[in-house]
Amino acid sequence: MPIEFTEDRVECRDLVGVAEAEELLEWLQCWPAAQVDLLGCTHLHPATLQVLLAAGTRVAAWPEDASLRAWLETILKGAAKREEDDRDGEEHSPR
Amino acid sequence: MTPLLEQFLSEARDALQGIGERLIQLEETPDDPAVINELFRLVHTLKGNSGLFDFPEMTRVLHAGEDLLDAVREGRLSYSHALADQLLDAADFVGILCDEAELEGGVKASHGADAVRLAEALRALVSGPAASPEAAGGAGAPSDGRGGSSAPGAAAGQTELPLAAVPHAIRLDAWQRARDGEALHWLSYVPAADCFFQGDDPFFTARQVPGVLWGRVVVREPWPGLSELDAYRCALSFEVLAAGPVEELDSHFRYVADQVRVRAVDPGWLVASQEGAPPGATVTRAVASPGLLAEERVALESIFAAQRRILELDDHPPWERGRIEAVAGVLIHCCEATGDSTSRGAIEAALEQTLALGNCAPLLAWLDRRTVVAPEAALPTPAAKVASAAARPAKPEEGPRFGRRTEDQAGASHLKVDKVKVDRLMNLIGEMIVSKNALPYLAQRAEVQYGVRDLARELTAQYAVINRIAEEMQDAIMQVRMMPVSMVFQRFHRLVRDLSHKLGKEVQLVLEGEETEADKNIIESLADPLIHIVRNSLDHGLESSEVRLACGKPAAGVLTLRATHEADRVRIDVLDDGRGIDVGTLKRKARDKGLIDQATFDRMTDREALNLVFEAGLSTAAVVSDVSGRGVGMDVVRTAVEHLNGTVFLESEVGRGTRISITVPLSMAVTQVMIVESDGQLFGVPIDHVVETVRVPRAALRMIKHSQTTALRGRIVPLRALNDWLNIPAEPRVNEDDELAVLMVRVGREVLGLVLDEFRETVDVIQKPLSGVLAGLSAYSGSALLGDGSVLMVLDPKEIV
Amino acid sequence: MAKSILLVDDSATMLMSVKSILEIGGFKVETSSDGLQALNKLKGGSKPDLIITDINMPNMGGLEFIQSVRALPGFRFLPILTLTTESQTAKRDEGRRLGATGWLVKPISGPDLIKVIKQVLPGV
Repeated sequence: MPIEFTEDRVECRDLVGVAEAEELLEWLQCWPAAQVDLLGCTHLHPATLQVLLAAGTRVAAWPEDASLRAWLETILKGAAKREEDDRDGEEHSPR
Repeated sequence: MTPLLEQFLSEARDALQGIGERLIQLEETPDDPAVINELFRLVHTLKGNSGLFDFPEMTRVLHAGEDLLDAVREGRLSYSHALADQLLDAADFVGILCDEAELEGGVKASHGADAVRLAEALRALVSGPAASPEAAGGAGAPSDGRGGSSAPGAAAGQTELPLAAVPHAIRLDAWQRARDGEALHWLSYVPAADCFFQGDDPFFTARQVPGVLWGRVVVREPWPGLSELDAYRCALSFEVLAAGPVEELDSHFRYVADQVRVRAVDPGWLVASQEGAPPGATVTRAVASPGLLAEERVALESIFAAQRRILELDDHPPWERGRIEAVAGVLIHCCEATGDSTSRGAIEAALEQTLALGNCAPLLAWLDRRTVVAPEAALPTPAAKVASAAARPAKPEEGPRFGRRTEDQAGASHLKVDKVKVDRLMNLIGEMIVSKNALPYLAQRAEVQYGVRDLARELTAQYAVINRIAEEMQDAIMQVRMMPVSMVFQRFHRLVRDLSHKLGKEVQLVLEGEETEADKNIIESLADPLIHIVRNSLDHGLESSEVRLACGKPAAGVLTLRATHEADRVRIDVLDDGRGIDVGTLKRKARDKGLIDQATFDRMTDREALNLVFEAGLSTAAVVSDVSGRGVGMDVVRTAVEHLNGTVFLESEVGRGTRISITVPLSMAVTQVMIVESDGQLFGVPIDHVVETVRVPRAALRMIKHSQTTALRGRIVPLRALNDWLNIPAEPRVNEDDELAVLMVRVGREVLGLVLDEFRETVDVIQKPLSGVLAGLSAYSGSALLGDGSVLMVLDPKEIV
Repeated sequence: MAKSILLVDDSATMLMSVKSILEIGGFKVETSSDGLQALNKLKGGSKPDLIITDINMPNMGGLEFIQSVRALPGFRFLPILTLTTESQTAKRDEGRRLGATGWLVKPISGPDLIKVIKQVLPGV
């Protein structure tokens, strides 16, 4: 599965497709404060991306994929304080 | 044959059969939409498949057929017998091409004319201007479809583009790319709300934009609550800054062209748009502010560096003075724009000196002084690099620069060269083409005789290189020799005017395709035959005004000279709308003069009979006039055209007019010949005459009236043994399967089988006419030197008959 | 994992030519010779990552096929490319309207085909 839910976090890996959007939407409605871990993600279908945006989900870990990270940084908010070069948001404790 | 070709041919044959059956079915039920649809589908599929191979003739005809059936299918045209006839003709033609593809693995370009004719006939059936609107557009262009919504709008103001959102480093990079000549574009991609249901992934499309420098995701409107959110309605837009040609962007977005707006980005906007700058800030104002931004310094330095390069240019065009003044103007403006109002005087002084000396040194010196100062102005990183590069010392030798007279350089784009020199070049390249053919022999010898494989391989590789260069050289020199037919056509204005006066006829001369080009020799050699034809038309073809009016024609006759390219040949048509030629009279005359016997007379088709005018001693004129004289037949024309390896053909309709078509090669320097073997000797046959090579089982030979014949695809073809023709006392050899090698050659409009021992490769040769005693041998058109140094005798198939 | 492609065309020649390009490109290819056959394949559990379909076919043509595919629950967002000829611009647009992602223009070269697939199929 490209998408995996743990207690307060959703992890996106590889290619997250269009089909995942609905599932993600339902889950985020139950866990509005959850964060997203995009570390291993290479692409997000816009349907999924807009669910994350609409839910205001914070990014716990930015993608390693530099191009995807650059795009997402223009719109998604990072977790905790503003990250500069700290790629691994995982050390930051969730709010 | 490749499996794909095999598959194609078998499917094509089925389709052709299907097409035939459907057409017959339509005779019974002309309006059955199911049958018409099926017919369309068959033709459409076949056309699509033909495109997989290099069969342009086939595709052309099928394409026309498809358009025609499309019109029928959509009710724009109704089914008719004429339509069925044309389609059946086209299907037969495609069948012939399939046979050829099967036998030879390809389709000969010689079918081009037939393909054009068939396609035209099919298109003519599709009425009106709506003949093929779709075919005209979009051929091969991937960006067609939804119209050019993505044309870069030059007028887009910087204020509309949120360039300020682009990070500094990326703007700098973009700016430098623009300076290196790359185009910059800003894309706004607003996907349709339901685009996910078309399988689109607009984010992926945006990420994959060719030349993407930067991009961002934009939310179009505030999000509703999660419970209201429809994840599958796209609410995101994308903005991209990309470097590269707009065509690539158009192609990338071709499926969603209506959802994308592409605007050209002026590099200046990149420099001007800094965070916090008021919208509408212009470059000048930004630059004029006290502390220059890094990018502005880069820009400034690059302008100065460009001026230096201009001053250092070594050419001395007539406009050099203006150029220098422009450079000085740029320098002054740059200084003033950056708040340096003191330099103007110094630059103006340097300009004056430069102009007086005829030497750019004073201006260059000013630039040197200026850029020496630059580092002290504490420019930050990238600008400093550029500045120091610009500060390299001026070139040591600084002679007078634009002192030379401008005439020295004038008119250099055209050269007048003596024809003899070009001809010599042509001969040399011809010999080179032939001698390079020795290399493969050498390679073979190296391998077979001396056993040095590596050397052989290297020789072969080297040969490929030389071959390519030689071919390019040949092509280049051919281009030099090309000239438009207008060189010949032009003289007809006078000729027609004079002759028509003399004959008391009204004639309007129409010249078409004058820009068509061919080799100088060919064009020049066409002059005489054309004059002859035109004289004939004026004299015998076009009637006097009285006669024309009595026949209901306009008083003035029209004589048209038309040149067109047909593959690698030039075709020249001479058309008149005169009285035409009466075939019956012509045939009787020919018989009475003994040119044809009674049997031929009976058998001959009108088409064949018409071309009797090219026989010696036959003239169609009832009246002898002093323009074309008595008995001067068109045989002169035929001889001249055949000498150029061309063909001439006449069509005529009584009362309507006559058309004479001459087809000649574009150039006659290099001839392609097929090498054939008979009784251990090699001979060349000009490829223009070769129709095809076939193996005929000996059992399939028939004797008809003392001459051997065979049936080829339902046609009786007379055979002639090469040995027999050349008086070689040997029987043609047969292969293991008891088959004879037969070369089908075209002589005039006849096809004849030449029985020989074996076919070999085709080669490019330079033919030399036979001289001395040999000149009397009519069986040969010339000789040529082969790559291994041996002499090849080139047969003249016209002499067989 | 190799992406799989369902290729639909009534011409065996076209199937052969496109299939070989795709297989060289590393795709798994299934073929059907008309829309109906292809639709049954999808209903029978085939799950391609991409469909490439001709327009003019007997039994069920490409446009009807696209509409039918979009009506199947699991295939609403699947990328679909139509195989068209240069003159079929109207069909291309109609295909888009009915749910196709894009189109290919026959004859198509190997590199061009792979390039288009890379454009519509993330992760290739």
